[in-house]
Parts: sequence; structure tokens; C-alpha cells
Amino acid sequence: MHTRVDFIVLLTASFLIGSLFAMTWKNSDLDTLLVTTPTGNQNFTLEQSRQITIKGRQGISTIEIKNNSARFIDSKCANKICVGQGHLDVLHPVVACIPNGVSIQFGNAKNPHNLDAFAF
Amino acid sequence: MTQTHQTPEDRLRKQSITAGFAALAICIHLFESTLPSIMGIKPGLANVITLIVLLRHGLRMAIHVQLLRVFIASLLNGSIFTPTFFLSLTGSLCALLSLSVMYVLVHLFSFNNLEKTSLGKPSWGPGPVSYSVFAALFHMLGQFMLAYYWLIPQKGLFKVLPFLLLIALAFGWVNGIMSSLVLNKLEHSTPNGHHA
Repeated sequence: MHTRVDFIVLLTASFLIGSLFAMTWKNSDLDTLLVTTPTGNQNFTLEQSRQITIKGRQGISTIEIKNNSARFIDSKCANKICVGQGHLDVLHPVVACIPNGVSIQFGNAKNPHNLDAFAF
Repeated sequence: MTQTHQTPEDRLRKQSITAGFAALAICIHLFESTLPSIMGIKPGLANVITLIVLLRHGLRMAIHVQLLRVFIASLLNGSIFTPTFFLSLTGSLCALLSLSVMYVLVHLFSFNNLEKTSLGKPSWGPGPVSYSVFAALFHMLGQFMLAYYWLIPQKGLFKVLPFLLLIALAFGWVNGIMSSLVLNKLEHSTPNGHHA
């Protein structure tokens, strides 16, 4: 039923499709951290590791940018739910400190109108 | 591949075979159009007929059967000259192009292994599965590029492409196995349908 060339074709096609998955679904096109604050939005590059401080409604929120991701490490809120949310990732595409009015999410500064979802 | 002088009887016989296979492919195409689609994808079972015609009767007849199927099936289900028809036509033309290139290369390098291939006995040379996988992938690529340039010119569409190609690979594989099984049956039977 299958010849050796058939197996080679199937393996090569699987490898190419897998590579295409990796190319099209990697997060490299999301190269920017979008920070929403009560006074407006700010963009920060994800390439440079650092800590940034944002002034919110109740006080200062401290955000750590590291390994192409970001997280709240401190915020002027009572329950610190935003700190407990951890890093931005596929499961947590947006992390917000509601009491302080600060939220963080991935973005693309070059292409802000990139698709964020699709449905059939 | 070589052109030989054909008598009117030979020509009539070939036309009858083409019409028979085209009718079979159209029936399968119409049956398939009644099935619910997942993500707008159908298995493309009618391509099994094209593949069998290609491997048993040659490239020219396969092209005739494929084009007849696309035009007549679209005419019968009322989708002719709609975007669906042009997507189907582009996919079919791309699949035919890939099959033609592969068929010519196989014959150029004398890889034609149809006689050597049997169940459980892998041999060198591309079998029906290779042909079917190539045709399915190029069919999907052709449709996708037309959809991208004509209907949805949005780069985000490329995120769907790997999923579509993965499904095309799976269906191409299954169709190839089905073609291989049918070809094996046909190899072991006489023209009257009796097993040799």
C-alpha cells in the first residue's frame, strides 16, 4: 500500500507543516507590551528586561519585563490578584489591576490591527 | 506518454471510459456536497477517481475527468461561476498541475512502480499515496491563495494555513490508501469484472 517514497513524502509534508505552525503561531509578532493606565496607553518593548513603574488611581504598580513576557510584581491594591496572575501567556493574555486601573497585554507596535482571534 | 495512431473505435472506447469515470466522480462530488463540512473542508473523495484514472489510463484522461467533474458538478448543484466554483476550479487546476509534474517526472526517471506495489510490500517510487498527498496539499494551497488574494486579503489568514494543510495531508493520505486498495483490486481483475 505504501512505498518508501510515500513514507518520505508523508514525513516531509508533516515536517513542513509543523515548521509552518511554528512560524505562523510563534509569539514573535507580539513584540510589544501594551500598558493601559488611567491617563492613557503606553508601549514598551519586550526585548529588554527591566522593571517599570506606572502611576495608577491608587498608587504605583510595578511591572517586570523579562523573557519576552511581563507580570505585575507589586501594585497598590488590597488583594494583589494581579500579582498572583503571574506572567502574560496564552492562558493569561491580559492581566489587570482593576483597583489601580492598570492592565498589561501583548501587542504589536508595527501592526496594531493584527488579528487577535478567528472563528469558523 | 507516447502518441499512437488511434482508430475511431479506440477513440470511442476512450471517450466512453472518460464519460464513465467523469459520471462516477460527479456523483461522488454531489454526494459529498450534501455532507456537513467542518471548517469548510470536505474530504475530496472524488479525487480518488482522478487518481485511479491517472494511474491506469494516463494524464490526459485524468485532466478530462477532473475538469468535467468540476464544471458539471458545479452546474448541477447551482454553484457555477460563484466564488465556490472558482475556489474549486483553482484547487483542481493546482492539484492537476502537481499531479502532471509528478507523473512526468516519474515516467522520465522510469519510477513507475504500479506493478511492483502490493499490500505490505513497500517498494521504491511514489505510489498512489504520494500522488494523493501532493494533489491534496496543492489543491488546498491553490484555494488558499485565491481566497487570500481575492476574498480575504488579510495577513492573519496565514495563521489558518497550517491547520488547513494538516487536514489536507490527512485526507490526502486516506484518499491515497483508498486509491491504492481500488487499484490493487483492479489489477487482479479482468476487464469483465471477474477476478483473475
